[in-house]
Amino acid sequence: MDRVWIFYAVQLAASVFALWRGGAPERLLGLALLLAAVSTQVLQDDMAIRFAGVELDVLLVDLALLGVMLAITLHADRFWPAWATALHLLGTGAHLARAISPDVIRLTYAVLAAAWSYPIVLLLVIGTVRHASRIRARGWDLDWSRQDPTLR
Amino acid sequence: MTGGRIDQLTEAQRACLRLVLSHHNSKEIAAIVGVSPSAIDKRIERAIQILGVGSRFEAARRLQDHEGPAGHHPAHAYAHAPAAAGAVPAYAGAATYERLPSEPIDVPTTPSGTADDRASGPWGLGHRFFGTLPTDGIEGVARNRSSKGTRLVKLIGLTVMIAIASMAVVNIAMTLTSLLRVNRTAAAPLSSAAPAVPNGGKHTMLKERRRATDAVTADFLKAEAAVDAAAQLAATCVSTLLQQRVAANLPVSTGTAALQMVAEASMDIIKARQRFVEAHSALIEVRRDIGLGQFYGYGDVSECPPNEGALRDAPRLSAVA
Repeated sequence: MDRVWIFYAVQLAASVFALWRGGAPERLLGLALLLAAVSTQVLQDDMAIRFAGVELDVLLVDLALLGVMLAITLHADRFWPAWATALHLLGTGAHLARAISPDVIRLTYAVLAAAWSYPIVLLLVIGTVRHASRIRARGWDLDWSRQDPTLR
Repeated sequence: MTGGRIDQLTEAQRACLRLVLSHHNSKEIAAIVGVSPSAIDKRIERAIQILGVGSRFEAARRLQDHEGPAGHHPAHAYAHAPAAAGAVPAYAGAATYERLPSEPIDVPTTPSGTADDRASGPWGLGHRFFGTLPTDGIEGVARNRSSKGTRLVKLIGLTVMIAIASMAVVNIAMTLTSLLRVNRTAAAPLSSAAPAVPNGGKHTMLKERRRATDAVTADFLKAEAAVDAAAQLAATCVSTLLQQRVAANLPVSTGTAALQMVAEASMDIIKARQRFVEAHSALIEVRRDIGLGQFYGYGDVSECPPNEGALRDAPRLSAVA
């Protein structure tokens, strides 16, 4: 299970970086991703039947995360959350695919549900770096678009 | 040193910085000066670069320190004062440079950034975390100015795009894999294909064709039956595995991997059986192609059900021949 630990290390590093250097959207998503990863680990079924049926608990975690990401996408003064949310939407779609078609084999289900995590973490890191560079360049960076007085 | 750098500021930049110090954001400065907010941002950014400071307020304070409290800088600070006054008539008296309590809005929104009523309240930590302090974002122009609807549409578009793109990548990978596999099998020596055409001569009389067909048919039916039996055995094996685990009172997780493999092998055999069914149809087509279709009188190939139909008539044909 080396792969799992590698993912945890990557996720933890990215989340800490986002919490440390990011603006509010980055902090929020960094925390949400970390919580989602941990709760998925806690909630998922035993290995024997994992991904054999629709993973209801994991699905709920994914849906909650999707809600958070959707809110960030709709309000944040950023462009990258839309990409991250789209990726996560596809990951959540794996549950739907499995529910509709029982032919989806376990490995496919697992890969479909998990593969999108890596680009999402990458997007989070890139977003944090860009936020930090904007802060450095001009001293401020809006967190939410509505904080711009002209948009009210 | 800093003085020399301050000398490099243009009067327009200075005017902007003075307005920054009197607590105006880019929008307001833009309205006062009469240019776009982004132009104001550019001016201030340029000034920040020239002065080598971290924020616009630092730059403004640097300028204030340089010019002195009430314009006591005779040399050049107000050399272009008329121009500045022309540009900012209402704020010509802005040289009082009062420090406002909310001045630290230029501090980046780090968790330990702003000190504020709401920040120190019970929900202060939350407000700071979510960036919803009243001082957050007082200045600045939003980069992402899309409405929620636009963002939703963009999100859906992105999702579809990513799905299509990733499926395309998977397809390319699979196509390449199967192409390479075909090359590999093509390079390997063909052993099993040869006996499929036992009498493949130039002048094939009807009788010879029938004999060839019958030979193929016999072997084909044997193979088909063998695959069918193998499928049954494999399925039985899966069932036995499950039963024996219960019978031996072993935990549910025992032999999961093995069971999975046997079940998959069973599936593979069933797939192989399916191939035979398809080949069955294809063979009938071959018969028609070589002019024997009339003897097997089946119009629609796909109507041939598994393990019965045209091929079952083979003995009758040999009787005819």
